[in-house]
Amino acid sequence: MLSRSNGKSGTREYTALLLLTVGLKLSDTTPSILFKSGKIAAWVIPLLAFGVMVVPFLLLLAMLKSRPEKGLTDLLFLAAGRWGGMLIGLALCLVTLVSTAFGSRTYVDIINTMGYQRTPLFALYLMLMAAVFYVANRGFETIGRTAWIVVPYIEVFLALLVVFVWYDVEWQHLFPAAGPGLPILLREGANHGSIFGEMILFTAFIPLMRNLQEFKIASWIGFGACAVKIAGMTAVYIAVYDFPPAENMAYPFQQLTRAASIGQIISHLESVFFAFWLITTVVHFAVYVYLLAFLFARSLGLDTFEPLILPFTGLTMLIGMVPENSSRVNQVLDTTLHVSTYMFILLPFVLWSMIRLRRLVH
Amino acid sequence: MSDKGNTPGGIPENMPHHLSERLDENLTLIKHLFAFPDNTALIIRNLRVPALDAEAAIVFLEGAAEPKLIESTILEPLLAKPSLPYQQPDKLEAVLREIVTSPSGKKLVELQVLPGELLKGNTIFLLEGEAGALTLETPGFQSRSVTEPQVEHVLKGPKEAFIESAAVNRSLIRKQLKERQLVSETISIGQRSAKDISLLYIKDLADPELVTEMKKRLKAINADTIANLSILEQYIEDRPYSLIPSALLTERPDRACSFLMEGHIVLIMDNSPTAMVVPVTFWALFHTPEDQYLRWAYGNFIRVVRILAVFVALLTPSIYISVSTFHEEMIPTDLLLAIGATRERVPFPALIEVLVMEIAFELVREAAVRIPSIIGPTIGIVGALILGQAAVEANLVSPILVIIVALTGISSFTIPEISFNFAVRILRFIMLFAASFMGFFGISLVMTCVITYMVSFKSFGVPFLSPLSPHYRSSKDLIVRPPVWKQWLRPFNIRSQDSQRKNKPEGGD
Repeated sequence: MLSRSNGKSGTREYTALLLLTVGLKLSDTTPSILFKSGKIAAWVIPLLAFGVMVVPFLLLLAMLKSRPEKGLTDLLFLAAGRWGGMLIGLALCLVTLVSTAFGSRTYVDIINTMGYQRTPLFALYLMLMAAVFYVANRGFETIGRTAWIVVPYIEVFLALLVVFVWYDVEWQHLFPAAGPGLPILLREGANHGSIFGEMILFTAFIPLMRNLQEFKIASWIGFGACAVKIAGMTAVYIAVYDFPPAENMAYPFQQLTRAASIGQIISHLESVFFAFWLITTVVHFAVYVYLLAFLFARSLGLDTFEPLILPFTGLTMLIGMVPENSSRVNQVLDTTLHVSTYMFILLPFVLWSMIRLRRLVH
Repeated sequence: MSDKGNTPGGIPENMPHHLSERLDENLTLIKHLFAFPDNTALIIRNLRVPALDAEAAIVFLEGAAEPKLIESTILEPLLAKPSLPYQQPDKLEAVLREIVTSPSGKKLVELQVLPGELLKGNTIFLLEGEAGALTLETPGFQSRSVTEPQVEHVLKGPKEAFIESAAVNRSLIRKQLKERQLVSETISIGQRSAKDISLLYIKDLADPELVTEMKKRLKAINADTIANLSILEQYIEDRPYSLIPSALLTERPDRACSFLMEGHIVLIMDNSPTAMVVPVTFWALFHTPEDQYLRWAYGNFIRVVRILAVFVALLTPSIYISVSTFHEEMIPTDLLLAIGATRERVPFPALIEVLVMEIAFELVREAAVRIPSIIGPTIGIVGALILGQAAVEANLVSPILVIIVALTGISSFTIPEISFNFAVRILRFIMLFAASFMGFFGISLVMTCVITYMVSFKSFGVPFLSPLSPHYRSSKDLIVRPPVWKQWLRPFNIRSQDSQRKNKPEGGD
């Protein structure tokens, strides 16, 4: 006899979710930020960042290993006590809220700039967030299943994009390979660890997974593939645009879709890529809004968090509407990226020492 | 409801619950129940049984019971048998066991069940001095003979279809499925005029929880009467307002059998030329039996054609609107100029154009279903010539639009299942409005929500898009199928008790 579906996600669904959610970073302003610090070798930074985040992630997994069905939030309470856990939980929540709000604003800016210049920003934002809310409100399991349905098409279209611009790719643009020099690259890699900050944050989802083993497998495949994807696409941007021009490009992915063509006749495919990119965007933000509500409720010790999804969707949008233009958004995002990097790297170590300390005291 | 003073059997509460020993009293009760003598359908035949040396009567309903059968299996033996010492001390038992020759019958003592037996076409035998009656099976309802399916045609494969008789339909399934564990349970529902529903499943395959859930839902139905399966479907479905159906009605016995073998439940009812299958998934709605009957390559070819048709039917008009109003750069310049030239003389925006043609097409379609078949051909002339040709010549719509609407229409005809067909057609209009409002942005957002809705929809606890998402082990018979000999696994999402159809074949994966 087989058991009925118990509302939990498996390896495939979670891997797909990671591929879309984290992988989407290759199409926003992340590569532009990387160009500024990594120059010609910007494409190495995602790989380095992933390498840096592996250490705290492993530590966190080691701590969770002996505690089945427990996630990040439970660990916070275990390590820092009731008030301390709540404080750290709310801090994580705040970081997620800021990055989600400004992140979503970036996406709306992209939509506004690249396709819908005459539509008010607010209207686009509202429609996007309405869809995000609808998807998020159906629960983690549903988001994962949706991701699993669409992920093959998204990845195929990403591969097609590379094929369609292959004619413009000049790999020699990637040399000199070390770019600004190895020491700088290593430092920037560590600084940009929060590109994969989800490795720490998403451990909160462990209670929603079937078991820790599936979570681990999915995380390694998902984040590993995303590191390769982001690095690969960043390399393609440089190979197509060459270095100094790439740095001045606001949205390299969208520019690339404009360059894609099939033969002589069909030379404008950006709308097709745009459609698929948008589906991914909705899934991406649905995960974040869900995570926000989940983190917030767990930090305050609330049992139900579904009613919080709507207020957090609204709050995300309100904060996202605050900056006047996209360069302000980028400044804030860059700062959050740095601050949260330290936070994500240090958090597992802090938790680990706190648990150790508690054991010594008792 | 019983607030009219009726018990569940439809008997007024002030009547006695049990039959009396006196024949004339019993007959008066029955006459009263069936509004005799106004109701001339009630036929009472008094007789004297020489074998028992007693007055008796047989009662049946005209139209429900078969008189020839009554004559040969009841009347003749009763009147012909000599007076012998019978083995049974009880006289009614003696009649049932030793005299009448009808294939099935039973003794009853409660008045409550008596009208139901008469309405089913059974004959009631009453005997003076006995506080009971015999009910003998003599069904005589008329039904047509088994014919070819009207909706689910195949080129290759069996050509028998269900008819309006539940007994014949059950027999059609038995004929295909020689299976010891095939259970046929009967459940009566409806408060005033109870109807029997047959619940068919394979005992050692179907998930017992699913069977219990199904029975629970059937028993929870609060209705006067249930006319047929199409009405029943609407009583037991998961989400009444959803565009997605929770059950599948098929008119093909072979299809019903293949679902039974996967662990589904099949419901059969009188007056329904279909069988109802639960639970259903997207794949059940999308597949046709022909996909399996044709060889691997041909079967997959028509599958690919059909999945393409689903997307064409759903999205073509909205993509046309999006491309022509929001993303003109996508169209090659020559074609863009050509479209522009033909649209030049059309005074309406693209949305109005598409709506006019789409609505016209839906009108033609609905008319074709309702029109008496003898004047059917007029639809073709009016639809094709006047709506298509003349609308273009009158500059109401552009020629490219006629192509798009025709393509959409043809594609929607390839969707085999009626409920799914409607879902796609209705969704098409939603997509159309989303596209005309925001172009690809609108289509993408609505599409994401639709996918999310589909993955979260469940039919009797089975996710709609499983075993694809959420993933379950199965024979991978989804959009395309593996060769038949490789389909050795039953889909795990149906939670069948035995997950393997056969042992894993060599080279099977």
